[in-house]
Amino acid sequence: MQKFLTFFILLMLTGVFAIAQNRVSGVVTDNTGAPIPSASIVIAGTQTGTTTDPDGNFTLSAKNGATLTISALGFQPQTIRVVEGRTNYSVQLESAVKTMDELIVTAGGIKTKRKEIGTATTVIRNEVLTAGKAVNTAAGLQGKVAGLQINATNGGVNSNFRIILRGQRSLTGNNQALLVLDNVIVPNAILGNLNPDDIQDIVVLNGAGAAALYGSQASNGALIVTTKKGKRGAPVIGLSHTITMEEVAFFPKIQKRFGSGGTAYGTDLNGNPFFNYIENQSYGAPFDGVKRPLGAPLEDGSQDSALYQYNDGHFKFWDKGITNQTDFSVSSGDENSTFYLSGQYADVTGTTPGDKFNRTSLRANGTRKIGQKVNITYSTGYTQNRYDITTQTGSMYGNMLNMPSNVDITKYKNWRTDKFANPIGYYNPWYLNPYFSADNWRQKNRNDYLVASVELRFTPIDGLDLVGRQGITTRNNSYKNTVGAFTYTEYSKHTDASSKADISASVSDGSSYNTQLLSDLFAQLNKKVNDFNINLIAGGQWTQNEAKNVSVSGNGLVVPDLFNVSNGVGTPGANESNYKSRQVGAYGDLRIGYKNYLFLHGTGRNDWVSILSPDNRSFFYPSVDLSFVASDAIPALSKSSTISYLKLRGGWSKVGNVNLGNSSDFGAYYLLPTFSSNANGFPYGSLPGYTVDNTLVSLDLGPEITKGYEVGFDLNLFKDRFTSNVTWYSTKTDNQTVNTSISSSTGFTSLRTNVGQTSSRGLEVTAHVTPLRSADWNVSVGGNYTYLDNKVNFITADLPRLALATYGSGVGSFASAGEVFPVIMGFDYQRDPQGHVIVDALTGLPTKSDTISILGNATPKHRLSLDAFVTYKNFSFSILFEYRGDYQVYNNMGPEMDWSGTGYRTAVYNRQRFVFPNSVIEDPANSGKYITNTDVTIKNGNGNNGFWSDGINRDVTSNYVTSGDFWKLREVSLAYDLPSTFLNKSKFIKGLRLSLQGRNLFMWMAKDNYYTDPEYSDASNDNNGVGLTGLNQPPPSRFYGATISFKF
Amino acid sequence: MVLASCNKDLSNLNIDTKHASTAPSYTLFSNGVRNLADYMATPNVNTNVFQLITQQWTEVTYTDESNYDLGTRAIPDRWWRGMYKLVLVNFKAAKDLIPTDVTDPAQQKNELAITDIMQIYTWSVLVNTFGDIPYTEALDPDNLFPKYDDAKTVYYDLLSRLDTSIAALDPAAPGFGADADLVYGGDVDEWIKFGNSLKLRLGMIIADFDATKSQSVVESAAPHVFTSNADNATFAYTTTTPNVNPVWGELVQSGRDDYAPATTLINLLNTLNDPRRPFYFDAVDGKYVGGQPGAGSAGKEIARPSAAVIAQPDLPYIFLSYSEVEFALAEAVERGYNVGGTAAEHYNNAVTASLKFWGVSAANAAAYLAQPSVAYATAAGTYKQKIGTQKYLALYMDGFDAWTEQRRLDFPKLAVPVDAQSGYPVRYPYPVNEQNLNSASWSAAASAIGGDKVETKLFWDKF
Repeated sequence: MQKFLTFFILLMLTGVFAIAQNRVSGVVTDNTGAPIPSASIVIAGTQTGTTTDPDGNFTLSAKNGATLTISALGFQPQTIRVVEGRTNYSVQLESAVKTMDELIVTAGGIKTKRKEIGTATTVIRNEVLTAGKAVNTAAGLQGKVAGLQINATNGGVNSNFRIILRGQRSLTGNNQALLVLDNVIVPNAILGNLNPDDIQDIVVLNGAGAAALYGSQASNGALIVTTKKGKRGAPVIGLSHTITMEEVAFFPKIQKRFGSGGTAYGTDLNGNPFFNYIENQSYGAPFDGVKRPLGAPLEDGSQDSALYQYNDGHFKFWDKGITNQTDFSVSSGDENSTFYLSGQYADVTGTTPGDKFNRTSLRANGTRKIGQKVNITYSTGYTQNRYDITTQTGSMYGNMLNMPSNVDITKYKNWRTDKFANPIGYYNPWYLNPYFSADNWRQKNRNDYLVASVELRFTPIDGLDLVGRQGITTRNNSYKNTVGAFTYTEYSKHTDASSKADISASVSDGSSYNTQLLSDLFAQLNKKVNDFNINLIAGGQWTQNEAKNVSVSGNGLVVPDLFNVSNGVGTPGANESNYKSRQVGAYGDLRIGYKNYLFLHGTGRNDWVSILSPDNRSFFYPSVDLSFVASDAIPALSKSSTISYLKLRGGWSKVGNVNLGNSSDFGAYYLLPTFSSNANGFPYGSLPGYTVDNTLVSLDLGPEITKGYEVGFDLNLFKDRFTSNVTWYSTKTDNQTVNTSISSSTGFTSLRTNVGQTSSRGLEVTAHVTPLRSADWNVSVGGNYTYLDNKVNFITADLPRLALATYGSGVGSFASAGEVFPVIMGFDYQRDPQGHVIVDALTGLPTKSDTISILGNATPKHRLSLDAFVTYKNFSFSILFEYRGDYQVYNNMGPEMDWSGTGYRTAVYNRQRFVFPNSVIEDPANSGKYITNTDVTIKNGNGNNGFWSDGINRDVTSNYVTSGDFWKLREVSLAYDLPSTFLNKSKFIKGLRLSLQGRNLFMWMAKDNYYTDPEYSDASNDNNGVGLTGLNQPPPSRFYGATISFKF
Repeated sequence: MVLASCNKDLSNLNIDTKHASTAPSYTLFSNGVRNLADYMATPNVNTNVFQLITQQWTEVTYTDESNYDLGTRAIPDRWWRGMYKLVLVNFKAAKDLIPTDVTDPAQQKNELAITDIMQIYTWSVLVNTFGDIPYTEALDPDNLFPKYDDAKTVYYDLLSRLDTSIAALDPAAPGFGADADLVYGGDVDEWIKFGNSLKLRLGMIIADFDATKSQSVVESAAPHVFTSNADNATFAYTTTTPNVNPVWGELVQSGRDDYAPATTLINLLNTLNDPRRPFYFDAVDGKYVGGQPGAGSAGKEIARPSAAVIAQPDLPYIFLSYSEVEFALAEAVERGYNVGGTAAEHYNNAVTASLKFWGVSAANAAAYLAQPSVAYATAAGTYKQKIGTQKYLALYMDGFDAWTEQRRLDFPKLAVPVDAQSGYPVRYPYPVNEQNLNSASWSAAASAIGGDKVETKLFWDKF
């Protein structure tokens, strides 16, 4: 009351003196343009001042030349001078300049000051996340955080992203970062189904230590996503629309000189192979521009034709995709409550013709204060997505890369009406018209996600908080896959080597749900004792996962277009699975601060999990870290005008990862060997057949344990004009859960047991410098760098390597003792001790090695991102480049293209005989020794069964292992905010921003990579066997678009 | 206290309610039988290439297996894994469950004996493919490195187990149910005949190695063996998936065209003017032309397995036929065993049974047997050649048994494939997986048999 009186009197006095002064008004906003309520404006040298209203507006009287100091909690104070003749001032406060005092949400939803944290943490704010307007939140994080590697593992209308922090730890288990949304652990799939505009910030906890409080799921680090909760003040209404174009940015390199045919059809006098009108292999005559027939004559006698010259039709096949994204949001609040409501609709068509995707999201968040002691926070998000795509992208892509390059595939779009495009008359007897495939094999997929949480915080006395949280995440999915029937004419089935065969209609239908419930209860005690500040947290957590899947399928549909399982012949296929698992945790967290510059922090958590045997299900995870703010503690530094902030930090932790099962079965029920009911070939009539399962599970199975430390420092110079974080970490993960193959004479084929060790160590550096900061200009440049040394130390003596993802030929991505995790293994040429390829002295042909060997490491050792942010008056510009280097990929489309003769490699010797480069032959005079081969040429440099298409070239994996290095222009954006003077005329529009942005605009890859984006993974998104690309990912895309956004 | 109760709560939670932690014993038996039939019947190049090795068929385009390349597709691994993992372990699980599953003690005894007979059949396939194999220590989840047992010891143990199981069968009591018994529909009498017919087969196989033992086994079995095609041990496939013959899967469903008759078989059929030809193959322009073993045979003139008989989804697989039994008895007479009848009678019965099975009329069968090239008295060669040749023709679509008989009788003579990767395989090499996963046991076995090679003869293969 007394304070209020003083304030009131002050105001009165100001009013009295104001008679001789100017009336000054203005608005205070943050750097996003949002008003800052309750900011204080004080006339320098006086105690006179005012505060802003909920809209950020203020009015006061001040003399010309007076200095006003504007400050607000969480913002850097700023001063302005009152100038004669100007009465309206708009002030933008830089947020959180004292970065070290910024509150960061850390593990367990506990807010901690940045300077207290002893582990590496990165905060990505909404503006940075959404600069490129990526539909998928994961895409918006690419390249922005040191130590965080995000790979788009395939293309398509809603790509999958693989999110890995500090390399891979688990050989076969999950290595993806834990995802926490509004303090509740949620499945990783949620990230791709969040509206990025709803996200206030994402805190990346790089290491296990920072996340140890999350217990058995924390070994992979964590992304802590906090959604917007609304702000006090007048309602802010946002409305925006973004339109984004997607186009294919890179095509495999192909030869453009030779077309259909080959030596199998004979050769001319010069030895050139003949053209053939149905041959699918491009080992024929050189292109000559003459019109040639294409495919066998149709039953009516007509015959398709094409100019015999290169045509880029198979690249034009891919569409321009369009994404329309509309957002609205309302945010407001008063003394006791805030709320945030939003909606988004994104509608996507992809580059694969006919592929569609849409996503609708709604969010209602808020806070409410009840009395002085109770605070409630709630967060509710609902998202539905719908896919309508073809299941044949991989085979279509493959067929087109196989196709002779004189054929213009875009001619065959109208397969229903055009007789040459119809499957019956389509020129190629072996491969389907891709337009037909896209129409005939369809998938419709529906997902509905509800993610909600409620938090109640009760503060009975100062310094004690009791917090309860309840979260629910649920996904309901249903899908339908259909294959239409197609009947060929007898003529088309039997002309010219035709392998055209009728397609029978089939359908499969499935639905599933997946629900996670999480309850969290903890008490937080905060006490100051002399120089010590003690913060203690103790709590418990209960998590349950439950899932059910049911699917049915029917073949040989009687009425071809009736896609109903009951319309099939024979017994319909049917499948059901159910899973449930539970985890109970008890945890404690103690942070002791000394004089506000030394902070010791320890956590401990014990978990009990249902999926392991009673003897092994309980385990304890400790962590400890220390933060020392040298710039506060050491007077010499605190007085320094150079060093504005120096924090030294270090931590140690031990966490576990129960590696059983996958994200859909949670590892439930793995311990008991069971019998499977749908044995191959059953039911036999009504007789069921059961079979003994393949895998034995060791009953002693325990979690994989990751132990490690990290050290680092944060250094800011020149009043934070230069900021940096540097972290070195090293971890080892023991007790790998591995399925080791066992002799099948035991009656089983594999044993799941704990064995082996991996390690990961590396350096993470982030640095930014602001060379220019003025009223009009703000320029910041910088970036981040990651060095990663990720290894498999050992597996077992009798299992020196473990296949993570392999192709039928046994080549692929492996974990191999003592090597980088993972390595690409495959066949090489037989080589002499110096590494020259040994060729036959007569045929000139090399031979394939007998066994597979290591051909490359699949993990980039170096990653670098460079960024720049420039604002000039109302313009803002940002750009982000990302580099990854020192690793290799195996491109599985290579052998396919060489088989068909479209591969670029197949024409580098002009289809002539050639001396194999760097080859040797056995010295005829000295058996076992080799001499340089200068003149023995390969006997079959051309032909349908020649060197390029035969087993030696295609089976030698090393021919297709290329550097994975790339630079990408990840994001560029340019935005313009219309000046408020202009907007004021409208009376109700408070902000209008126009922006242009692009993502993955340019990609510069290693010269030897003729194939595709090395980010792709041919193994599934959850598979650790990275480093393989293939035909199942459509060619990589670039995205560019424009946004208009309003604020009311 | 709370944690203790929570621990118990978690245990209950980890019990799978939707997957069987136990299963009815008969479903495991049926599945073992089905898997065995599939593996024996399929011509899939990854699994069963015996029809190529014995030159019943050759490959049209990719000729690796016809040229004895067993390594590229790791065929021994598949065969080994199929027998142990898909067949034997399911029979073992059935045996483990029958005592608790089946309440009638007599039925229990019958089911155990029937399962054992099928297990013995499977073990005999393994031992006759590889030689020494893991046997006494196999199928034990607590022993990850089972040692290999001497082939002869395994073989003789199988013979004695067979005696025990045949003796245990009680025709007055029920066996498996009519549905679950996919071979004999629950008829225990037939299982007794099958047990004895298997015993006859196994007894004949060791004739060149141990004539005394062979004679006593064959003579004790002979009075109880099959007496007509009705006794054939058949796995009846049906016309609807998934109960179709894998042959149909490979020839028709796959949409592929990989197999053509090999000259070895088809020239023999042509020479003998064999009435089974149209049932075995489809002629091209009225002619039955085969492909040279191991050479590509894409020519338009080359015949294909018959669409109407062989490429049918319900083509049955025969574990053991009456025809084979009669051939064995003919041979037993020639070897001086006391099994009754003359060699010619048994031979005629055998040939007639085969012809009849494939659909040849009685008149045509008689005419065939009357040909001097077929008639037992006048057909070329020794008894081994006469019987070997006709048995080979009768064992069409049963590549494994054709291989065993060819190895044993050494007739008919097979051609050397054009691009042979090795000598004629008289055994399979051990799976590569065994070298990696059970290496100590494997290397001991490899040296015990005289080298893990395809040319290493099995103990009974004396000529």
